[in-house]
Amino acid sequence: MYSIFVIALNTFKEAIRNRILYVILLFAILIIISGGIMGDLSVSAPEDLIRSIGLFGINFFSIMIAVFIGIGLVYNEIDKKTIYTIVSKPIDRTHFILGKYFGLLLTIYANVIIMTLFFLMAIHYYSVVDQQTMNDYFMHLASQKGSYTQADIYMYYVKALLGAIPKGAGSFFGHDPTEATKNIMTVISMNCFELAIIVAFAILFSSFSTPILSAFMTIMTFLVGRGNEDIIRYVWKLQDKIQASGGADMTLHFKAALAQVIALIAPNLSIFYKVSDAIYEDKAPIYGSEILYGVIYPAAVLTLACLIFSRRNFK
Amino acid sequence: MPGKSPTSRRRSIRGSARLGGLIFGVALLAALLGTSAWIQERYQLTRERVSLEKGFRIGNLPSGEFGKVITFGYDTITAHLLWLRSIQVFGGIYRSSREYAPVLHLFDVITTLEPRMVYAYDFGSMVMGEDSNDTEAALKLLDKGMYANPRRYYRIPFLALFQCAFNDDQYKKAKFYQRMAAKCVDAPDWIEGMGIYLDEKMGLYQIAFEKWCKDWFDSVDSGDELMSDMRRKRARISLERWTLAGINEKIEQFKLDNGRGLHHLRELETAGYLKDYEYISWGRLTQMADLAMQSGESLSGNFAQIIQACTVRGVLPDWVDDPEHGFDLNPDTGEAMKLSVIRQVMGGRLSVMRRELARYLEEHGAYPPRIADVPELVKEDGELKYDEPFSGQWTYDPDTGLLRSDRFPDL
Repeated sequence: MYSIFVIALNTFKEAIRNRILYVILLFAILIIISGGIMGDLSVSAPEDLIRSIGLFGINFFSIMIAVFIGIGLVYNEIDKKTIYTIVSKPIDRTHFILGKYFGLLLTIYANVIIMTLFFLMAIHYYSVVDQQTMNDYFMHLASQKGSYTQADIYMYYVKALLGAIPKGAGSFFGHDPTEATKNIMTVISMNCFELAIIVAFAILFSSFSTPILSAFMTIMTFLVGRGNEDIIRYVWKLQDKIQASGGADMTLHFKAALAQVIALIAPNLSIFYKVSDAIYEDKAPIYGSEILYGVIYPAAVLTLACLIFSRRNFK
Repeated sequence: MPGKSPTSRRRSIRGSARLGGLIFGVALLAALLGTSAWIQERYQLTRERVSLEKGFRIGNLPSGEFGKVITFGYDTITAHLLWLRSIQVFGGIYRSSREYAPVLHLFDVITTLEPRMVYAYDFGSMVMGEDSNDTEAALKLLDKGMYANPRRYYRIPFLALFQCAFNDDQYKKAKFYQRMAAKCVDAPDWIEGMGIYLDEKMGLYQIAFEKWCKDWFDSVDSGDELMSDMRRKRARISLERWTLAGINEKIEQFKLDNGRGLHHLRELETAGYLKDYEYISWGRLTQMADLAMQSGESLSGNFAQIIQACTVRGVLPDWVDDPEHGFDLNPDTGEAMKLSVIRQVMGGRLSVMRRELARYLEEHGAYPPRIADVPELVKEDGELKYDEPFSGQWTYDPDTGLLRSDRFPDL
């Protein structure tokens, strides 16, 4: 177990030195912050737009990080021959894969935490610099002081920015939830399960393939995972057709069975993306079965990765 | 002057070479960028000038169902971005061209991608119903919203109610949406009041009266004075409308039987047309309510008994001569009309005529001998423009210029 921890820690240290990580993180933060500007363009419910864009940004960019860093993790070790120094030591190959997996997961979760903090701060900031709130504040100020200056307006923005930092951190730990921050931590938590699956696939593909091919396959897996419910609907459609045709068409049977197998084997990632519920429901629903699925599925993928990697010949 | 050492000379040559290299690099960059810009410009000239508006056809958007598949779970963000686009589309392109079908398609796509975006139904139905005058299209969008969010957001069926009642005068349909809105979990109390309003609009005055009355009794029982007062007034208005509608029905019957209109409202009583006519005595109703309140009895619990006890049969209502709430025959139409309305019309006519008389006095130094001598008050055929409309006569004094109606001398 200790070896897994050491490999994970080293993977984390190695990953955070990767420049791609910072580029993606910067883009993510820009997108999250831009939600406020986009919200201003909306005639109604700008807060919905801010949350929608922010949660999309966190989800999408954390997946990008998982793909672009995960795909090279194992391959680079083999390519640079550094794998020899590891496998020659009394370290199980399974531990190596698990260490890489948890190290990358740690990196991604650290990024998710940073993005979430920025997002929560942005929400608090935009709720204070909202036109109505500002009007009320300056009307009150004018009634007290007689007038207000441009400096007062600048100070207001500075105060809003400084006030958003502790508020954002507080919301992160579930303190004083507001209408704007409700459900956000739930969505982020569920997002982490989706990331656990994507990272597991990235490690799996990286264990036997080149980075480009791994990236392609991981992205494809993500798309299939997100479209899993459409495959299920396709199965239903085929089943209806079979029923309508009296069950005579064997091609339809084959297609339905194949689609059913794909739907069952492919990850169902849409169950972890609860942005819509977060925005429009008072409480985004979470089911125990979803959490169980989010734990079991990456475990299965990692098992496969370990099986492949432990049989791999590095000569 | 001592000569430069070979080392410094080499440095100087290297420095010059580096500077030269930099200049060459910058020049090469500028040349390459300039050439590519020139190629781009030539390319633009060969392109057909197609405006962005023309290029981006909202109607070309795939269906919402297809959109749901191709967005790979990012349907909410796509819906939000299209929502932003919809405002631009409405404000910029389609408002000027009055091309609304693509706008409806856009809202259909948005609400399929995110069926819980209530404001998309709100804005979409407003665009279709108000701006495009296409109530059917607005209702189609709102029906979709109701189906996708059953009993969830009262606003969607309420908007449908609004479209039907205020844009299309379809009160029966509006009543259906009102019932749907009332069943929603977030329905405010006033939605019930909208139901009564629609009942009245459909001519169901008795239902409206009984609902207001029930609400009034409920608020009396719960000690809500403000609501009690408001509902009591509404109940009275509904009762007056209901009574008037009942009387007009009898007048119609009289006309059919006798081939002529009434000379006076009391003729209904004397001719026996009110034998089976029932009305609720407002005086008795308020008296009973006051008594029940004083004794601490529940009003709503005795609703049916109270209404029964206040029902009077066979005569004209006891408030028929009340100047504010009573009513009388309008000889122009032969129908019963509220006295307050009659007084209002009369007051308006008197004010116009008095103004013309005052102007005549200013011009001629004396009032005209007859009203008909004021040209502004006479039609081309010599008749007076403004008759005393309700079976009365104008009384006019040429010495003082005093003009009155003998029916309403107080005006």
